[in-house]
Amino acid sequence: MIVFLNDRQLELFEGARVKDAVLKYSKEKYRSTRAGETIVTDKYDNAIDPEGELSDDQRLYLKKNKEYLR
Amino acid sequence: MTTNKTILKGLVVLVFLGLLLSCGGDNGRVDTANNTETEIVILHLNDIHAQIDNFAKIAWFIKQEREKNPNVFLLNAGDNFSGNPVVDQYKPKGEPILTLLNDIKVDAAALGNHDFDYGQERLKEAMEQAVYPTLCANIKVDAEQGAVIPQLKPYTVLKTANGIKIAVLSIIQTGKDSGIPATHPKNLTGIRFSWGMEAAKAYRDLKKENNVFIALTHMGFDSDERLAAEMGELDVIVGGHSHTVVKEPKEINGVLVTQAGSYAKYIGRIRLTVKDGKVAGKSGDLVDVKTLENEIPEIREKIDTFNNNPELDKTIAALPMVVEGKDPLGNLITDAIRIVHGLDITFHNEGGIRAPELGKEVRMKDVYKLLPFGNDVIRYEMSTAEIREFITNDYEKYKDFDLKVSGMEYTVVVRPAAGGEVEVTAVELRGASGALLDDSKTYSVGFNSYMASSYTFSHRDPGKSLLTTIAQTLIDYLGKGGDICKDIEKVRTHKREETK
Repeated sequence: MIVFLNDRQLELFEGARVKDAVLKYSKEKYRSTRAGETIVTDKYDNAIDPEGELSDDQRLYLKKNKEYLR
Repeated sequence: MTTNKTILKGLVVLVFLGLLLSCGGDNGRVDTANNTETEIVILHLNDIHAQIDNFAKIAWFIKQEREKNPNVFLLNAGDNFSGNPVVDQYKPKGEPILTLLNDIKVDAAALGNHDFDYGQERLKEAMEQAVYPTLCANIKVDAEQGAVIPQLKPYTVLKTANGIKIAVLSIIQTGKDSGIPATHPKNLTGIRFSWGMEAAKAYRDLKKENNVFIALTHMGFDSDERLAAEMGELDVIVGGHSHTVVKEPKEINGVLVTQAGSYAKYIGRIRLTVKDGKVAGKSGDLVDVKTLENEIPEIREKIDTFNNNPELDKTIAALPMVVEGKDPLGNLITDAIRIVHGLDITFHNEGGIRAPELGKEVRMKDVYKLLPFGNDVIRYEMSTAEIREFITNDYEKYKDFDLKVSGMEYTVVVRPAAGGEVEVTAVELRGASGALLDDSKTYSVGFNSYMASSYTFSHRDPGKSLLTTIAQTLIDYLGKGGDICKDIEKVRTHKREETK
């Protein structure tokens, strides 16, 4: 399946989750997401859990977690 | 004087009572001179995935809402199972979450893809046990083809005390290529699915027959957006599947679209005002469960009891030996993946093995300690050239045998490279008989989802999740019994130094 993270196209296996997209994008960002420093959002800034299930052409974004940094 | 005071007091009380009634004090129903307004609250959860710890707070919150307004309904947008060993390994499977959902009196639920994870027999029992209907409009169940669950109803109609009708229609996601929800296909015998978006459109008339029209979906926020764009008849879409935390519902084509994250961390709340039989106002918010301070003690007691699940302490396998060290453990894990899923070759990374040994008496919780990450099994169809590249990249990165293997042995031929690096000049792949693998063939290869997403390798096949975890696979393998420790101490990875 194809998804986009920070506008970069990623090809993932069928049944992949948000965490798989982040891992494919960057191991560093994956660690930062696991630590809660970074969150994954959709285009509306809604946070999406790393275990969330993906669908084709879904667009995701990485943001600093303001609550974590506060 | 006293009489005048008494009359004045009486007037004040009457005026106060009048004001109270006109302010909507009579439980969500507001009577005005010309019409009647009804306030309806829709609470919603989704993707609970067997997480039970927040239910005492959730139960308290729902009770408060119901005491304030008789027109409160609770919807659950699917995926109750899979994600917490305490619940997933309960006997019977999932019993804690099913009990708690009944306790909080869900009014209607969507069918989620992971609700099939325990198999159809258990899903059927779960639906029979539930005090609420489980709905799905894009499912066709055929008992003659081996289906066990009954045909689900596409929708239900909830009614307020004053007769307002709320239609709740439900649809489930299906894969673009597979045409089925994301669960293991063995769980879907005798069941066919149609495209949810089209199935929903067949029920447009529910709008005419009811005062409120809600889609309770399990297909992800992006798909819910598309559904809203195409079905303006809907008042609200309450969704699930993508685990999206929609703090402020989006209004798309006049439809309010929302979702309450996952793992029972949030409760969604939609407020609807129905006036003259139509929705005249709608808004929503999310309640963060960690901000709730009160609990229902009886529910807390149940959760504590469930969390002491004795199944996790039970011995699930008696091994002839203590399995000690990353190589024998890796061999056992890769054997499990290969045999349980019928694959040709399987790999597992050393870093994903998180305990030093498995004792002779293996308890379920030992398996979760060994494999704690919840990684799924991913299957690829790979050529020998792709397998060689996979091994080469891995060996050059770790300069050691990170990849444990089953179904073959491999030999890396190495020579020193500049800067203290190691260059792999060749990789030999030999099957169980000792013969080289056939370069003209492709092989079914399995490894965990962490490796699939983070390791560098070429693969023409995009890969497919088998939608079960490595830990569950090992539990299934250990449960089979037999000589499962055969060959696990055999060295399966070899290195040969290139002489020149």
